[in-house]
Amino acid sequence: MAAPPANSTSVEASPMEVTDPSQIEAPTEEPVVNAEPKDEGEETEIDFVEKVIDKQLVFEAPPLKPLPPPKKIVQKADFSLLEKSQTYSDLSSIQKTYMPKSKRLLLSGGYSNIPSDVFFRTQGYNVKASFHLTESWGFEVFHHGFSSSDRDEIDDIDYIQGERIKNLVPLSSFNGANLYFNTIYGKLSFNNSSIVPFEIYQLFGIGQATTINKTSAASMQVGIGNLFSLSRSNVFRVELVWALYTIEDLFGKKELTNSFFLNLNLGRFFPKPEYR
Amino acid sequence: MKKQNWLLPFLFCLMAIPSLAFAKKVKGDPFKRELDRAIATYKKGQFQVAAQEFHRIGYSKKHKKELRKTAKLYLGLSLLRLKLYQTSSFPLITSIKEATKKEQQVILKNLMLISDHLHDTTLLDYALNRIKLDDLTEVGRELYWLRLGQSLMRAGSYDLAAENLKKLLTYQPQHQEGLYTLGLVHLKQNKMPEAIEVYERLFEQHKKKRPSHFDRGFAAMSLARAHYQAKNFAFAADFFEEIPKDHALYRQSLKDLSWSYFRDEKFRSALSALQTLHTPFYNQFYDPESLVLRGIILHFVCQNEDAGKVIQNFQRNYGPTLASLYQLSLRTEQTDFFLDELKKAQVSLNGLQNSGELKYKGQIPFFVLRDALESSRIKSQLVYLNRIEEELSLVERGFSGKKGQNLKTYLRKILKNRIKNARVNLSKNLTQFLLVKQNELAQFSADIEVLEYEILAGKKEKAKRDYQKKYRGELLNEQSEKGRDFYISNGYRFWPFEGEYWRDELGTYQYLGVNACESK
Repeated sequence: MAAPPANSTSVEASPMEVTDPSQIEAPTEEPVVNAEPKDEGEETEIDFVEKVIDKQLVFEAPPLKPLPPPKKIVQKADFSLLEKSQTYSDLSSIQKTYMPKSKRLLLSGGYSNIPSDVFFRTQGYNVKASFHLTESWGFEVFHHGFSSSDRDEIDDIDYIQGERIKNLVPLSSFNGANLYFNTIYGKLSFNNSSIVPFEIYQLFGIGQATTINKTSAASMQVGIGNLFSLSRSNVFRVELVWALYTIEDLFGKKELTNSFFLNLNLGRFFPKPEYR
Repeated sequence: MKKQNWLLPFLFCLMAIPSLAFAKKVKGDPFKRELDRAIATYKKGQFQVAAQEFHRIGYSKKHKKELRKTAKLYLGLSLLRLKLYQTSSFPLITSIKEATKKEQQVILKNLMLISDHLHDTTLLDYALNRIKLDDLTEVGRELYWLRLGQSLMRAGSYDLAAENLKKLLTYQPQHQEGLYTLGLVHLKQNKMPEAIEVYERLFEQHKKKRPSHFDRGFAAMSLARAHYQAKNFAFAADFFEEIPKDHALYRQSLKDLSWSYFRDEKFRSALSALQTLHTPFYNQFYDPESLVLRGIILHFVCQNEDAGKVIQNFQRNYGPTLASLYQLSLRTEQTDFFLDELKKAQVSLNGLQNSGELKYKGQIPFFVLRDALESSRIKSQLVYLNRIEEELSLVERGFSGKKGQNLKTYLRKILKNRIKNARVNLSKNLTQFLLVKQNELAQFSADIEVLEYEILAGKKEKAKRDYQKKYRGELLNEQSEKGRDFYISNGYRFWPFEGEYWRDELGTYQYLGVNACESK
């Protein structure tokens, strides 16, 4: 269909009107009224524009056999019947890890405490750098720094009984490296409003424990912890580590000793995860 | 003496004529001056006062036609500046025929603004009908070709529609709506390679945007559907999977993805995609087709017991719905009833989105109305109705004085008429929508009846085979294969499904069952 000639002065034949009716099928909508408004005042003009706007689409449904009114109006679907099918036993969810760890570095730090120390209150900080090879395996290096104060029991012995305990030495630092292995993963619902994935991991490694007397000893430690994913990069770790080491007391006597460490850490993974 | 009696008056008149002409030249046309004063008021920004003046001039028979046309044009412009969109369109439309080329451009530009605000393109299409192509600027021409293309497509003239859309794309190759409409035209013409090429162009434009961007997902969906129609089911599935969970079109894409997998004979993947749609998270959406598809696939893999449960589920959910829709179709010309139900559904939907709880007690099933609220035609009409109701309250608050009252009466007349007709139109559209749904649901019900027959036939065959095996002393096949080994690669988590739905697991369900059909 050609556009109207450029010099045409006629405005009657609109370009949108098809001149050859055989070229098109009957439209499904009623055609827009193309008449011009007569200049006769408000009412006529309002009626004219109303006719332009008023279009109707008519759909004639094929006749349906009469149906009685329903006993109850269903407002939403109920899929509970599907749950009783065998299909459900063959269903599972396989999803990408919310917080991927593979090939990412975790830097964390936080509070440490040695609750197993009977005579001293030993607490301090810890910093860790972990690298994860896969979701299950990784390794980390750590440093703990401690300060300690006498518990009431030592004060009682000293000031009440007059005996000074000299050959007990608390730790001042503990450094080392661990192998990280994740065995269990899960997720929990927090306040019914958000989902927090977590994983339980085990640690195994070697280290060096140093006392306040500046004496050091090699150690071996095992641990268990829980890592909560706060976001795709931020974590909260709670772990218990049991370290076994041989340390010299004030009189140079070597003694096999062990300590429990409770660590509470916040950390962040770098770089950002690759997939959404 | 008698001869002198007529001579004096004649000479007097002869002398008076030049002086009268001289007087006219000095004072000018008072009506024209009124219009000029009103235009000056408009240019000073006093739109309310100017509107009142233009209204008085435009509808006063003592003014010339030419002046009335100009006054109406300026009336439209003044009302538009006062943010009275609908009422401004009336005088603009009536002055379009006699308008000069420059005035037509102004009217067209303003009608574009109005149609954008009101979500209604009817008056814009009318204006484009009246204006010659050569008189349009570039933007006007693009709009013209686009609207012409869409109009011809609706009328079934696909070749002509394609021709006009190609002209648009020659002018503006990246025009999104033009590309989409041209692709649609090619699909209707069954020219699949051309449609795919057009949609690939559309997808390339948005490929680099973030995955949850609406345009990117929309382009992926269009391309996927084109591939589906061309029977490239694997490609279709790939593009449906481009749409992420947090995209507005995700739910619609799951059903289409399932169809693509089914047609590609990947029955496990097809069932996996459907599982998300049949969780409590999506139970307020109307979707009988997904249940029918699930039944068909289960029948294909000879899981006839499970297919039977799907049929029962369909009949429980959609049987009463069909009966409700039938009862509603018997109600005619009840505008208020349908609009009230729609408003109730809207309020309940807002409540559901805020609190997660559905509180609705209407007579039209909520999930059907939710579908209606998502349909583009009804959504636009609801927005339109809200906008003109707001405009009416704006008019009621403004315009004081006698001239103001006259204009107010005129505007009120327009808006009340419009509101009345818009409510009737919306109600009619809703009844049409419900009729379409009723028809569709009746068709699905018929499909379910056929499927039920096929399932019964399948169960009968299986029972026959089992009997024959028993007769021959052969062992029956045990269908369950619990304890099957499978490998989950690094970076993935496996959660066995035990009837508990977790929101983060939507879209990650996997059907690990087997095809229970025995080879004959």
